[in-house]
Amino acid sequence: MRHAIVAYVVRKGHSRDAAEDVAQESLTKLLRYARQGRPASLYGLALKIAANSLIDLIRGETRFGAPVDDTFPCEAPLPDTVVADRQQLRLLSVALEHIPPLRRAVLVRRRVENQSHARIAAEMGLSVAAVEKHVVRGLCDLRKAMEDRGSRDRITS
Amino acid sequence: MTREDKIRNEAAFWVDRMNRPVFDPADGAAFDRWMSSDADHREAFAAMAVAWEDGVPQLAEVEAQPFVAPETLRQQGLHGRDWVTAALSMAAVVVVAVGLGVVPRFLPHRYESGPGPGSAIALVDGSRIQLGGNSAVQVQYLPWRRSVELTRGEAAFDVTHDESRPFSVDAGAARVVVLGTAFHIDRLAGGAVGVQVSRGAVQVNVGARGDRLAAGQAARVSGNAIRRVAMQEEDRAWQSGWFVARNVPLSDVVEKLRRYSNKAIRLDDQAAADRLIIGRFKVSEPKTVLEAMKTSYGLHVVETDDHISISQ
Repeated sequence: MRHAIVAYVVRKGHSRDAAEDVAQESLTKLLRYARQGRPASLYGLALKIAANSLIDLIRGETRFGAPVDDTFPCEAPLPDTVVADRQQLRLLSVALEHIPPLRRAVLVRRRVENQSHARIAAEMGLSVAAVEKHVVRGLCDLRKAMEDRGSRDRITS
Repeated sequence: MTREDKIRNEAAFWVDRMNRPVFDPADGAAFDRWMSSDADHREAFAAMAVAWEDGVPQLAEVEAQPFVAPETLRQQGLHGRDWVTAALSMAAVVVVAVGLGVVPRFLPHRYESGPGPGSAIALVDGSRIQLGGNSAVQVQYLPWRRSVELTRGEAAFDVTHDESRPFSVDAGAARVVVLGTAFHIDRLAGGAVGVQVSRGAVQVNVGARGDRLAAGQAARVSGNAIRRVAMQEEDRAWQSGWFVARNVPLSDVVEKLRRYSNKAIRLDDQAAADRLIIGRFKVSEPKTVLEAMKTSYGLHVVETDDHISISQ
């Protein structure tokens, strides 16, 4: 369980230390929730709690750090992050070419516009099973493209 | 199918399942079994969850880039509106001739701001417009409607509710019709328009298409298409002078810089204008940003006495 949370937080671009902290906090909360009645999925709930803790962490509202000043003097963009971002952008553009347009449209509707499977199916003239298939395959395509980037620019701090 | 492919497929399946508003308890138990059975499953799920949360929205951003507004459509929109405005002004002039002293306030009034932080406009009905730098609006209040045209730049609107007098904002080809609400409109390069709603709801129309945006939703209009985009935290704080570029063309960043620059900025080089830019920029300090562009993107920036020009 701890591993599932740590893996998730690290992939979100945070340090291993932060990941361990988030995992510890999430597991404590999970125990409290689980006492009130067994959730449908322990892993699902644990990751949801971890995602919420991460948002708090970013906002700086928890014990992990002081609130972030709105006007912190960050002279963005740092050239190295720009290069990494441009690389990522190029890869995503490549990924786009490899994901068929229909599949892209389904994926974006589901994630960005938060439309239900049923609504997407109705509006695009697909079956719900086909929408499901497009989401799963589209995610796989995207993930593959992100993997091709390799571990060289994986940010862990 | 390799073992890696199989795990990736399963991870994607579970990400899809777990991100639904409702799921079957049997699914929950099966997911827990899958996750606890193998460390590789947990890694694959973590990676796939991040692709879902961060990758897909980025994909949507990239997809929007090649879009260029068809010029003809924009002009048609302008023609139509010019005609209406002209007709209304003429009607107003006719009434003036009749001799009603109150009429002049029905005439369109133009507000303009120079480069810099912009200015606030308080309107007679209690509505407020926060005009960005180097931006202009034309406001016309009639007894039966309130219309504003954003002719240049960007502005945020906080509109007092008045059912009998709808409030609408025209920005290029896009028309935003308002109930009582707060929102922000940004005229971007190439005729594109960004709309972000922070309170209430607005109806965005372009040509025959329309989309209703609720609080927390944002859209980008380019050509005759309205595309939903994820509203970002920075969009709410646009007056801070920061602009977060997420794969946007350089021409959009330059459009932002023009709101603050004392000198005209020329971007005649199409290849440079189309360059996709990522980064967080303090656009209220154009010189610093241009310096960063030079070093990060290898662009040529030439400054003369009266303008700055950017090329590849």
